[in-house]
Order: sequence, then C-alpha cells, then structure tokens
Amino acid sequence: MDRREFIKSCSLVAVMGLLFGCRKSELLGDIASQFSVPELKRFEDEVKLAMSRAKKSLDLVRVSAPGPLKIPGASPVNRFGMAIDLDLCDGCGKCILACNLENNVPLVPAEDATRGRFMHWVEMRGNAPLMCAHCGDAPCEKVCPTGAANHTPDGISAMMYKRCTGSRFCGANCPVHARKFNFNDAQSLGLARQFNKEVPLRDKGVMEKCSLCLHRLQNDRLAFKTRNPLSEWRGRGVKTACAEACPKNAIVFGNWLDPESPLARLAKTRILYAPREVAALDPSVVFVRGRR
Amino acid sequence: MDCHRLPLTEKPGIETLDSVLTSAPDHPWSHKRFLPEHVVFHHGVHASAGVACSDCHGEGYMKNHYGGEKFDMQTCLKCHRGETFKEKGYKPAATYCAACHR
Repeated sequence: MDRREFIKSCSLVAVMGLLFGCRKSELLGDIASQFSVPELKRFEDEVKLAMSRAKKSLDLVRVSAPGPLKIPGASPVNRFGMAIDLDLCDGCGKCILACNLENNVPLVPAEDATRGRFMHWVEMRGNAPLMCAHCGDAPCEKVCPTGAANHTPDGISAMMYKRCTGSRFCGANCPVHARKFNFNDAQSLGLARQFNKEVPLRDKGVMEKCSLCLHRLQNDRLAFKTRNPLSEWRGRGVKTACAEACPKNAIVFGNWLDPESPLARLAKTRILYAPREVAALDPSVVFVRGRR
Repeated sequence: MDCHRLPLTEKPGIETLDSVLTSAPDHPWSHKRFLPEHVVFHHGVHASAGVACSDCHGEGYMKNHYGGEKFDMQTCLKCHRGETFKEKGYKPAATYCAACHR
C-alpha cells in the first residue's frame, strides 16, 4: 500500500465514521423524549434531606402592606403576592414537595445533595418556607444582561428561560439566594420529570426560581378574558401549588390591591414581616405573625 | 330517537361511510402541536376580543385549504402593539414577556 492509498482509506474511514455519527444523533433526537424518569419516591426523599439540612435562622423585620408597583406600566389593580402565616406554619415541608411536582423542579446529583445545593424553589429557613419575595424593586432584574428576568405589570418577577444565557448575575445579586442555577442537564441525567405538562422543563445553564405559579395565573387570565372580554381580571380564585398543599392553610395567595382578596383581608388584621435582606426592596411575599 | 344511527338514504356513499366509521379507531387523526412548550396561545381570548379567523389564518380555510400558516413572535407582537389591522380598530394588547411565555 503506497502513501496515497493509505491516506485515501483513512479519509474514507473518517467519512464513514462521520456518517454513522450523524445517523446515531438522528436516532437520539427521536428518543430524546424518552429519557429515564425518576420515581416520585426520590423527590420525596430529596425534600426530606433538604429539610434536615435547612438553615435555622430567619431574621424578620416589620414591613407595611405592599401597595401598587412603582415600575412603568404597572397595573393599578393587580399585584399578586403571598403571605405565610407563622402562627399556623409548623414547617412540615409539604409546600416544598407540592412546588417541586407542580413546577417540575429537577432532582440534583448525589454530590450536589451532600453539599446542600438543591434546585427547590421553596426552602425551609428557620422552620418556615422561604421563596422568592417578588420584590417590587427587584435587585436581580437590574443586573440581567438579556432581560430574561423581568417584572410583569401585575407584580410577578418573571423568568423567561429561553432568554436566559446563564450569566448568574441575578443569583449573585439576590439577597436571599432564591434563584437556583441549572448546573446539570437534568433531563439527560435522568433527574427531571414532567409531572405537570403546563410547565416546561428547564435546560442546562438557565436560572430558575419561584414564579408564583405563573402558569396558573396565565391560564386563569386567558379563561377569564374569554368569558368576560370587557371586565377587569383580578386573579380571583387562583391559588399557588404551595398554598393549595398547606394542610394548615398557612400560605395565603392573593392580590394585594383587591380588597376582596383573602390576602388583603388577612393583612388588615395582622402584622407583616419580611426577611431583613429584602425588607427595603418592597417584597410581595411576606410573613405574618401576631394580631394588631 | 336514533336517527343518526340509521342509513337515511339508499345512496351507496352512506353505506361506505358507515362501514368505514365502524372500523375506524377512536382517534383516526393524529394532532401535532407546533406551538413550543414555553409559549401560551389561547384561541378563545382572541375570538372573544373580536379577531376574525382570517386575520391570522388567511382566506385559505374558506376554500378548504388548511395549514401552511407561518407564525412567529413578530406576527404576534405587531398586532399586540397595534401596528397591524389599524383599519379594524383592534386595541393594543399585552406585550410583556410573561403574558405569552412561561
């Protein structure tokens, strides 16, 4: 075999290999939706592990009831938020599991779990659930280079996953570390499961956090506007997954600007608190304790 | 009353249709959703806001030509900003990200 023939056969083998590779990747595309999915038991166990590793301190300061947002284009009638009743909450952690199943929050690999790096949108802090406060003056949105973290007119600090390029500036700028970064490709590692078809799974390299069950609000808004195209939507009757799952009804979801909302009614008779870190940032998700 | 189960006429087409329907599977069609998972679109809202079918789907469906429409975010946004259909007087609609994305 001379030199020319040798090179020829080499390149032939390379081309064959390439072609075979292409065929394989096409095949992979077909079965991409059939990645192995984890058992429900693993999600339950992860929540238990996260609960056992929860930080004990939650430093609360008094805040006043959230008013209309101060951002341009804000809705004068809607500002969604939540209140967590610390007199009722016993820290059972059912809200964490409910949130994970509702929003398809992925598991983390064993190494991350031992370090306490969970993807949970709700976590236990001082025996009470802590999630994104949906600050009216959100520090995370100010540093987002792509506009993926932005505010809706009705007070939700929303996250557009497809716009996120994973700079993680928002996570660094969040004082309560409510944002979680997808370091792992959970779907191909078999750590993600789509329990709820309404919520898309997130890709690797994307920041995620509590969305105040945005999909539920969107669905309700669209259904309401279909039935009553002329009246104003106030988000009545919508509940987040955590509020629904709470056995003590300690989590109250509602509209701060709607006097009929259970949230606004609760705030009239109770004292509102927020974590010290976000208290000055006009949080929409607050804690209540004691009566006034 | 079981009118719809009886062959109403002697036309051979009716019998053919009946025999095909009895042997048909429950869902003889396969529906493919082309809308990405992270996009929300609700036909009802647009219909109740007074948007006509032909505004987005063209005139093709009136001649039994279905499919082939190409939609992208610009199509949606132009109308939501009130740039298209000015003569129809459609009101500008929501243009914030989370109105249509999740």
